[in-house]
Amino acid sequence: MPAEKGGIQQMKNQIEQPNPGRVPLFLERTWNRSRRVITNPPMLLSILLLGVFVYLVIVPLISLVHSSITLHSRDTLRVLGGRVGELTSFYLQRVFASNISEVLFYRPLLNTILISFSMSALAISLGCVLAWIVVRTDIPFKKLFSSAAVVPFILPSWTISLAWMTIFKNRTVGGSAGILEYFGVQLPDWISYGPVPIVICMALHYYPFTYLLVGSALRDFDTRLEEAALVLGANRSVILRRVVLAVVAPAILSSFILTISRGIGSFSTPVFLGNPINYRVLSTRMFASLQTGSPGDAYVIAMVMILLAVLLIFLSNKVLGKRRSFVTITGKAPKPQLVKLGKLRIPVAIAVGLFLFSVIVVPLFVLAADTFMRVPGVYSLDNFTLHYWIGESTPGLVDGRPGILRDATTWKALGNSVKLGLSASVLCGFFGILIGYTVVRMRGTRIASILDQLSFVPYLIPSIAFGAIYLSLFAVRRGPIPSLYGSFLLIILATTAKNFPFAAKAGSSAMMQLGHEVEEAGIIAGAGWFTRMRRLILPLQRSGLLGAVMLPFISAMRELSMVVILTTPGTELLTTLTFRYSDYGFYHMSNAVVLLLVVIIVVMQYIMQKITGSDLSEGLGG
Amino acid sequence: MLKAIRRGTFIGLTVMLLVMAVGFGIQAAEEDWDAIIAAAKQEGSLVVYNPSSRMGIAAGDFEEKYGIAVEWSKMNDVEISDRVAREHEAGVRGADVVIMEDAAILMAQLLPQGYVVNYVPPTHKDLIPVEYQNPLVHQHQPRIIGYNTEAYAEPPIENLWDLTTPAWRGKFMMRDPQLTSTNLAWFAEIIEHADLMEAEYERHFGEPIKLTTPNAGWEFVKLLANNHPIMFSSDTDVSDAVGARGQTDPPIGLYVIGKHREIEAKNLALEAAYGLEPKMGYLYPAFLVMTENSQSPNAAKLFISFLLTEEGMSAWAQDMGNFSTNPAIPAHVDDPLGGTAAWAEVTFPLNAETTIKYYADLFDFWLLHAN
Repeated sequence: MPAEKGGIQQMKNQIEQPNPGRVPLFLERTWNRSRRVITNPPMLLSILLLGVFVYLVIVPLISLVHSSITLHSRDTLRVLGGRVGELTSFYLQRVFASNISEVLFYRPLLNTILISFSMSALAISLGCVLAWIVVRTDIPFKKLFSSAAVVPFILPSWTISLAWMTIFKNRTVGGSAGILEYFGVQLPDWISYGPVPIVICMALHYYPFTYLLVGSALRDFDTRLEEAALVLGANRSVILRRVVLAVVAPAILSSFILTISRGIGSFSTPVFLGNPINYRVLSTRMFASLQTGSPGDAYVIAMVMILLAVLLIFLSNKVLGKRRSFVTITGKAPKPQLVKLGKLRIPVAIAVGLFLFSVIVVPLFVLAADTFMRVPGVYSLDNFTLHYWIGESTPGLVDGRPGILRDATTWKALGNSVKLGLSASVLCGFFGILIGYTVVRMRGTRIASILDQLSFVPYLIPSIAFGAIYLSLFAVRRGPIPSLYGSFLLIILATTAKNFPFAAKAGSSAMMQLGHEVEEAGIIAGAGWFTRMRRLILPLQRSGLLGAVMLPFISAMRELSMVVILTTPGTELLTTLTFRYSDYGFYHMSNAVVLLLVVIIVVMQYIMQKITGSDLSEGLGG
Repeated sequence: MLKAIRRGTFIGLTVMLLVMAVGFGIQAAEEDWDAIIAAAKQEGSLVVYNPSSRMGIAAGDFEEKYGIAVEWSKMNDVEISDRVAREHEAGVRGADVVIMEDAAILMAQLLPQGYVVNYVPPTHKDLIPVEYQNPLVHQHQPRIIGYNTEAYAEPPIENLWDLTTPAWRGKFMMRDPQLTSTNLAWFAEIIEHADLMEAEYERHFGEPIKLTTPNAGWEFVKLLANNHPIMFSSDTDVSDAVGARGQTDPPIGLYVIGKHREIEAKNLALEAAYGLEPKMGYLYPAFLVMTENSQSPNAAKLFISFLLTEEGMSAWAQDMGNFSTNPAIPAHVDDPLGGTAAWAEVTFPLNAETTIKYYADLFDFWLLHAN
């Protein structure tokens, strides 16, 4: 018998016989309540999901705090008479109030803030200008520009930094110089390394956030507002300032949140461009602490990073919440009036084309070119080699490793990446639909809103801190849960949990569109819950499901900062392999693997767009 | 006071370790080697963590000889010690054999805490000098200061103290001491030989040193850190950077001399700064131990024994700069000094006790002054 009927029957019974006299009322009520829970699939499901969230999100967070106040095995060398695992304030003191605090914490904190804000400012300016040109003007090649503009975000975030190094590296930190130095251009340090290139490279990776959000705000923008202003006698700049900017302000603000929260946690760009001159941000400092055997310090820094991100999102939610009412534009102008650029039409198009060319084609070309140079930094034809791609092991070249396409390591890493992508995306798709179903069906109840909020928590946590959390939780056996350290399962779990917010969002927005009638029809036809899920809900949600599956797949394929902490030699992924190679100084190999990764990701992205017909704006998660 | 207590702890640990090592030594002598070989083949495979990529060759040779697969990984000391400790705590299958260079972590932590055990195979018990048996040393390697021969006809510096002068600011390269325990251990030797460093300072610069730290050794470390040394995570980075041709003002660097094997393939202009006073670098041991929870203990023992043979060492010994502790394996024919004893004269041979003594303090000291 369908569960819902049980509840109704129960109520009827109660109305007819208020108290049968045999059982006290409160006991019966409890019994009824728990029976309703057990026989009500959405309720049961939400309790199960709650358990999953608590285990995969809340428990790890607690474990992080715990790990930052217990003594780690290595530090028995530092703390007198300390026993492993005992409570200590040693790490808090070291990070916040010791003679090395400035190096360990305060300077990296300042750098993080500086980088995040300047990067966001640059990314938002770029994104706004580009969005305005592409959406609101009459430039040619609109379609091409519009899809090219988001490509930098699809590429692994460190692609541009590696390319930057290949071009702008100077001899200060040794090694082969970059292309410019090879052709005799002397470059000062601030161009080659540190905050300036970090800000530029990150902005070039993250401007698509703004481009997409502001672009869609502009697309929905009612041009009659402009016309109205024009009629009222406002000039061009006033219109732009008081009308257009005012309307897209919320979009800009949300881009700001998205961008800056990435900025706080970003790891790969600062690690490539900052580490050579010891310029550290919180994420790279934390990684250095883990790398140099000071996990306690790292966990304290991770907590600060999480607090920072939470604080930021809290503040911006306050601001956003106040302003949200501002964007209630109803109706849409029949045909938006495009701004005529006139004489500027072609020059602007060339400028946009050049910009996109230099942030997409040039980096990839430069990386590719570099992989064909036998001796690093010598860009001449007789130095051409295919060794780093298909060469056989040669002693003296990259420690005798064969070319990446011949190297079993590459294929193993690729296999692992695909395995991770598949497992995480299937799990995410599964949970996404379940969360969506539960949240939508239980709408209005407390448990639904708790679930909804919990699923968002992983978003607040910077990736690298998320990795640290999982490391702290699963590095050792805790009670009945064995240590998952070094296991592939750990990486899958972390990746799945990190992608919960997007899975949940995809799931619930898909479910939101599905009326309750469909399920009711199933109930009337006498279908049980499992049958309804299998025969009705899931088939109807196929495309939404696909979105919930493909996104985590792609994001797992190019994730570095979280997994760099969790992978071990046996569980190497393509992304961590590039990192490891560049760590060894094998930049050719590193570049070659990045290119391989780019090819895979672009193909995946293409397939996803073909299948789901979805826009990249949904890809904001990755 | 604190230091004295710490030192006490270390001495205590070292004594414990010695007792343990003696215990294992006795056990090893009673083993039936043929039975171990048979059992090893039964086990079929083992996992090795080590800092050298040439392990790949040795692993291949071993597999060919015994049919036992070796899954090996290249890692630095911190990674190795972290992993070994975690794997032990977790009780998961991990490394069976470990080669590491971090004497402090190995002798003050991994061995006394029982994560790894020292094992000297009966095949080499009487061959390897006793001083290299507790714990077992696989080989010694000189890490030396080298320069670019295209730019300089002879070594551009005469004395270690030159590294602290403005002329070499931002032009000295080394592996990051926080990731490379042996570089910290080098500093420890310099601090231990503070008197020598002080005398050298006065001889070289013609005036006595002004101290802002406890002694001339610490002062050297501080001045070096303040002089913007450039830090990498691998020796390859350093030797490539120093030796690349076409540089007008090339840096000098500290790297393992084995990198000279790449001179031809990479067309480098590289030479060691022979004659550098007081020492041109340091000579460091690579320790070879097995893990306590090894799943293939017999294969591990067999592999340890194999690495001590000429065949097992050939992956390294084919190039100059790797000295087996097995005296039966001669130094490379091209070795400019003729053997490990001569290298020990011109470099600081690392001493584990010295390393342990300064380790924790040096780590933070370097972090503070190098940033």
